[in-house]
Amino acid sequence: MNRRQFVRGAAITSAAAASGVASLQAAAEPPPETTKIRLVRTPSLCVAPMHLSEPLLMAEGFTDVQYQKVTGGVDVSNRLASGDVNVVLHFAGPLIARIDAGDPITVLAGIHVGCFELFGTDRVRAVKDLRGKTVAVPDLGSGSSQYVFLAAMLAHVGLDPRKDVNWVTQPPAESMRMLAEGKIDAFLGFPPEPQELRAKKIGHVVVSSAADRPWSQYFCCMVTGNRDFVRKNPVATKRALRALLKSASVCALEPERVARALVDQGFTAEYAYALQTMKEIPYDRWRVYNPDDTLRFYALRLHEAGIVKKSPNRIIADGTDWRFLEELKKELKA
Amino acid sequence: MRLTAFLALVVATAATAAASEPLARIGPAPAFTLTAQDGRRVSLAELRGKVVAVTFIYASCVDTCPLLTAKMAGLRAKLGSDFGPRVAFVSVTVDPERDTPDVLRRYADRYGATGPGWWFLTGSPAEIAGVTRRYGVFARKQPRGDVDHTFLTSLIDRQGMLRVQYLGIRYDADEMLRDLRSLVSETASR
Repeated sequence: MNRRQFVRGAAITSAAAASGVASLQAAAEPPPETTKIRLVRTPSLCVAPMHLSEPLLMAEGFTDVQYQKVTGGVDVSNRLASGDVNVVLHFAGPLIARIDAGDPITVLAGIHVGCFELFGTDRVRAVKDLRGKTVAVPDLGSGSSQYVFLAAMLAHVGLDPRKDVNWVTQPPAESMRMLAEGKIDAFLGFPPEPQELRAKKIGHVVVSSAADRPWSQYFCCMVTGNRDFVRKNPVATKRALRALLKSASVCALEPERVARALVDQGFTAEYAYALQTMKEIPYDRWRVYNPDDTLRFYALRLHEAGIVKKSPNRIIADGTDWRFLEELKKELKA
Repeated sequence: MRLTAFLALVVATAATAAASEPLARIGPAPAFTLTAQDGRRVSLAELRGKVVAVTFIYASCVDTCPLLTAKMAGLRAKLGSDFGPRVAFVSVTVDPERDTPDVLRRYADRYGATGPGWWFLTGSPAEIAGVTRRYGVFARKQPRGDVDHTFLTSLIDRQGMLRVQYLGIRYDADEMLRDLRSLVSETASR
């Protein structure tokens, strides 16, 4: 235990005691306050722990598990903030932007690092080469995972995403086609897009967030709840988080089985892409990496990029609750 | 006292406290009544008073289950005289169609799991499906007959309370041994 962890642990204990919130560990855990839970179904393979969590959620006492189909990251953020869905697994960047905007969401834990890969043509060998280049994303703005991640990378090398890059917005499939034809210079993909680009030898990897520092040192996708749901349903929240953490461990331990399930359930037709995704993304780091560090890192980058205004400490204070994670680290071992 | 020495003392004290912190009390362990390798019906409630480790395996598994069972056999040896009177192992099959009590008895023999203290349990497909679901274990039969399943070992205290779960099979056996012993001593001191 390092000093930061100790101080943070003491702070959590004190805060819980002061607010009269008893530790959920103190006594046997009661049933969830609600047996209904709503999550999202996205096209992305990297959030497999969420896609495959239904049986584990049922084992936690949820009898009505619903997955709402969403079209992209913006849709995920909107539905979470509005309360249409209760818990999601989503990229840290847009979550920080929503906390900055005052949306009622609470980050609960990090799940894994390394979803995204930046692909470029021969004209792009490093992130700084993106100055003056054409980069494709599905959407612009703080709700778009692709845009936010690229903005953070650009800010990290001193570029201004608002004026140093020519953005085009279009669906990923169209972007991959245009990258192959050299009509755009770069594209940020998330699974199974990077696997497809590599298999088809389209462009080359400029940044892999699974392998390249500093990105590989911070969570990509984090479990996040609607704040009202978390406050009103602490037991259900903890049980949902337990199911998602177990599901992440299953992805790490049994990538072949998970890849087959992703194909069977229609997330991709390509078993090879699904298997690569499961093997490349480190799903076993949820207890190792510090989610505070992730929010601090991205909050600083997004502040530099002009996307958020609040300080990292304010973002963390307004939009996190690690109490459930700290308890589950003791209950789940691997 | 210098600040660094004070902080070192505080951190060391906190670390020691964390190491000796009792395991969480997750909730009542899901109940079950299944058929053991000797044909008797065994329920979790009958094991009240013992610390119980519940795992999920199947007898014809050729890759991971044998590693898990061997690991548990190693733990049983290290538990010494605690095993049996104070600690019990329960290995539930995820292949009830093929794993009859006889099949499980032969499987148990292969690991020297004879005598009291280690139950290998089977049941009807519906009974097994209910147990796996309640413990949060995926199990799905494949066309070729193998069973795709996840590995989860649950430690249950003498009052029947689920205290900790180990995912996979690469867990630290010494850590599980410490947890088992801590549950034995915790309940013995009451």
